Amino acid sequence: MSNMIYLQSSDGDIFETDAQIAKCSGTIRFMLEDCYMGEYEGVLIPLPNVNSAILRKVLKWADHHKDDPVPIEDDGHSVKQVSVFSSWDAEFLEVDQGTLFGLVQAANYLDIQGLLDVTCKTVANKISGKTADDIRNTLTTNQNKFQDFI
Amino acid sequence: MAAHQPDLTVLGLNDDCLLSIFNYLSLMDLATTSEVCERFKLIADDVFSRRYKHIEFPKMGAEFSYNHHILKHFGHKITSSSFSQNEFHLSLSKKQMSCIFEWLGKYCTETLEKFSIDSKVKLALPPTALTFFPKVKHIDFFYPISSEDLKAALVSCKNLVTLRLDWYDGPFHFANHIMPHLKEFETVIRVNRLTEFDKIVTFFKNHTQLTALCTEFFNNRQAHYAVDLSFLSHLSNLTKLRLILNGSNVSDTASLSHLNHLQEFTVDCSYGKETDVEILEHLGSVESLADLGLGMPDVSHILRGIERFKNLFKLEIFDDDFNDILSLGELRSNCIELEVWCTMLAQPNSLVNVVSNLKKLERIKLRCQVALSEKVCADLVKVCSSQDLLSKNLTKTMEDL
Repeated sequence: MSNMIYLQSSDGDIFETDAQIAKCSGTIRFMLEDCYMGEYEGVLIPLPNVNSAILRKVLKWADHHKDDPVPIEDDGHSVKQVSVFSSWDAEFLEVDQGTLFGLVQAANYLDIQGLLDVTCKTVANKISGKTADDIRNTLTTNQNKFQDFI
Repeated sequence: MAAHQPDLTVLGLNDDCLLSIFNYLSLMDLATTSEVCERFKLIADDVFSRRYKHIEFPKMGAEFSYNHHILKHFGHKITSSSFSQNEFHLSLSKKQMSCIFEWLGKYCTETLEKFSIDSKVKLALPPTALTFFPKVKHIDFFYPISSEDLKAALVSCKNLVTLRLDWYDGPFHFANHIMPHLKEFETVIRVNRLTEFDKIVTFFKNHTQLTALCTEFFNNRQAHYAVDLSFLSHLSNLTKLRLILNGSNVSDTASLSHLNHLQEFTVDCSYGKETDVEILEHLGSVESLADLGLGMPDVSHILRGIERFKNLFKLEIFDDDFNDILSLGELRSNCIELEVWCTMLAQPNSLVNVVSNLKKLERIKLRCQVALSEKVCADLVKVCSSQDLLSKNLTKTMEDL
């Protein structure tokens, strides 16, 4: 049985998706199960913090990972292991930085641990081994933005 | 909003996202990241505090500059640190060593609460090395510290709660030094004709607030120079006492009777069996005693002494040469736990006897080589369960063996 629901991006586009896939997001899962009490066939969920381009990517990632085991919660106190991630993920994340940061933000907002892990690892790899200046140059094209914070 | 968010930079991410990213950074990269901007610094500090409860210097296998990099950026967050000089670190030059102490002093003075030095060799520390940490509460010197260095450290660290001198066996030159907050003290005392027990008494008279004491006595001529235990009469607040006599002759065992609050007591062999008996006799009136540790190859002469502790919870025997469990066979005690650390047990069958006399026993831990036949296991399980107090631990120990 398929249980289709609709997600609306910040640009107003509506995406139809299987509820099972959307439920990899803790935020959406909470809404479906708690707000709609499990009766969610055909509901429309607005996601004002995620634009269409990012939401499309997120759904693509979620579809590919729909059969993954549920990740184990960690306490956040230990150094995260930078493991090699799948070639599919690596290819999926070959995107410009704006998109990569957009995915980090969306994964955080939507509470998708797996996506948050791979995107954060990717950003961390860009920082690793660099000097502070290199980090400033790598992570933003707009130097002034950092100057504001120094 | 534009579809691809061209303006979203790393700075557009909220703190949660940055925290998740920084979680994947090595300590070195985390330190560098904190140089990028003020906001990164705050988040890196946060990640550091969550991740590192203790930092050891120098870092093994890293370039020396690593030590400075980490201390410079996170020194103000370090509450617990140690300096280690073992075989891996021996390449450290004198200059490098003093650098580390200088940096620790410069960056951690305000925060460092716990500090230890661990070294297999004597260290020629810069004269001010140990005076950098006025806020330190817990010190562990696990190296042959010189009397001068020790004195300098004690004078500057006025808030010590715990002091462990695992390897200091010099004279009690610091006897007149008063540490008003000291609660736990550990030291080694070398007993010879120069040992000034009056100084030792003075020191403990000044520190009657102590709740835990561990002293190990080294004595080349075990009977010739007696360990004078009279200092114990000033320590009625002790809840924990570890007295490692290494076969020394002992005088004034009666002082032990002042320890009315003792809960844990550990002792090994004194010079003679009569003295072992005396020691336990003088403690006999201490009703609070719950944990008794005995470092003796044979305990048959003090069984009556052990039985006097009505509230004994745990009996522990630790001695490589202890092998005759049968000697415990006559012991009648209400202890709940029995733990034996030794090389091997010769007569495992007698375990059943021992256990049947310890009516309240719930747990046995055998930390030794022992071949338990299936029958003994079955009997043990039977004895214990017949008293309705069989523990899972016992069964588990059996499985482990």
